[in-house]
Amino acid sequence: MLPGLDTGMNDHFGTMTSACGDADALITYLYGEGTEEQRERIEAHLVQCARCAEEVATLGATREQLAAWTPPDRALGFQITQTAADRSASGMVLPFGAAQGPSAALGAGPLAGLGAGKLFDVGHQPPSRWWHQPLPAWAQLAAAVAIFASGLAIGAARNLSTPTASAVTASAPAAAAVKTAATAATTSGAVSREDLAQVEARLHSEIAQVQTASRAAAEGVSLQRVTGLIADSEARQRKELDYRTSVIVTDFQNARQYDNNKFGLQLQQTKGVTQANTQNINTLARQVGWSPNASPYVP
Amino acid sequence: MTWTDEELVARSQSGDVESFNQLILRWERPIYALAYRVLGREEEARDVCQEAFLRAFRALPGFKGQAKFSSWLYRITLNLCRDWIRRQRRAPVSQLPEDTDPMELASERGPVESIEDLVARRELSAVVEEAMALLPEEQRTAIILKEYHGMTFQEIADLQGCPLSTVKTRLYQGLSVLRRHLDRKGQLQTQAVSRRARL
Repeated sequence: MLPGLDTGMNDHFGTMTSACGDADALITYLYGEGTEEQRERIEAHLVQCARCAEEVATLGATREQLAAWTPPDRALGFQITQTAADRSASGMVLPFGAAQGPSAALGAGPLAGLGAGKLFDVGHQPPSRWWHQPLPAWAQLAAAVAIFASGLAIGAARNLSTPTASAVTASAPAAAAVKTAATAATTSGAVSREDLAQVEARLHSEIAQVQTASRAAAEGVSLQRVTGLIADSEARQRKELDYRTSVIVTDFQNARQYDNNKFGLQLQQTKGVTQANTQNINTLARQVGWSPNASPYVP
Repeated sequence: MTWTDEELVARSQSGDVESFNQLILRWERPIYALAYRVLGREEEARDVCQEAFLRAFRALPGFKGQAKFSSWLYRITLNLCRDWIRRQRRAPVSQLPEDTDPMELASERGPVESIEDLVARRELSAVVEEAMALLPEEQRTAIILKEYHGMTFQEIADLQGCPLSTVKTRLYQGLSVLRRHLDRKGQLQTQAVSRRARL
């Protein structure tokens, strides 16, 4: 390093001088920034100052070497997927590599604790909560019947001037119960609070059953999805293993070929040296009058 | 039709997710390269890259366009890298490029580069990576932003939150360290080649 290079830094282009050891000016020149005037001033200095010229040249050579550093060429393919109307529920998609699963990325990786969104596979929408999912058709039908039956029952109860009534949803069996209650009420001419409470309890029970069934169905779908993700992950790992193996094999073959070529070259060089030595010995043998027939070196 | 970053940002802000995906497609390689060079680890770089886009997406409604979208994204990425380095409490560990196939490289770079040149380039890449890992984080980041992302001194100063002169000092000192390391490695390699040639 030139003397004063680490102490003569200026604060701004405007104060940049062409003094020897002005690192600020040299680095500005090296990266082609600054005004034309500043550039010309530094160039004039470099013509006169061999040390600064060498400094700029070696730093420039270092920069050229830096160009050799390239990051690995990996498939990325990130994508935002909209999971719901709420944008905050969106997630990133990682189509490559099994290690990018939620646990890997958010748990052990640098994203831990950063509150990142969920990771989902390509083509899969994130599973919404079971109560956001539509009910199966049979459940919807049952609910419709139950509502209709409830309406009938409430209407009947009102006609009979009963004090209270409630609108609820239930499945088909519950609707039948309501119908029965309504019929009983009509035939008997009165509906007691106990009857309504009984019907309501039964409806609640039926709703709970429907919810349990929905939850079980959702869990089944989730299980299927997880199984699919695991299968995808294994396939990707196998693919990567195959790729790495092929790279190793290729490297090995290249190294072997390189060694073979090198060995062949060395062998040829050795042959050449041996032949030259043989010729020298033969020449010497002739000079000292050695019988050619007695010499093993004469071809 | 090719949209500008600003147009895609505006469309994204109005709820068009696909526009943001176009921004991701446009910027994921530079952002990944930045994270990889700062961290020196492939998997972590990918995670940081993903998190950067996710954060950008979430913060998009608050992005008023005071800075370029790319600068904003770079800032998010560098903050994430800094967080990660602080958590790790150690310098990045260099990894040798393990997935580079010389034959593929040869086909990419044309027939003028021989196998020996490719091997030399690969070795040089590893040496540079090793040398970069020696630098303090601020110097390394400044050099990466300048050398590989073509930013101006002022842009780097804005990103690093320091004066212009500090950026130049970091660049100069960082380059000086790299030069010494590369020279030493170069001499060692030359000596090794000479020894091999003598054998």
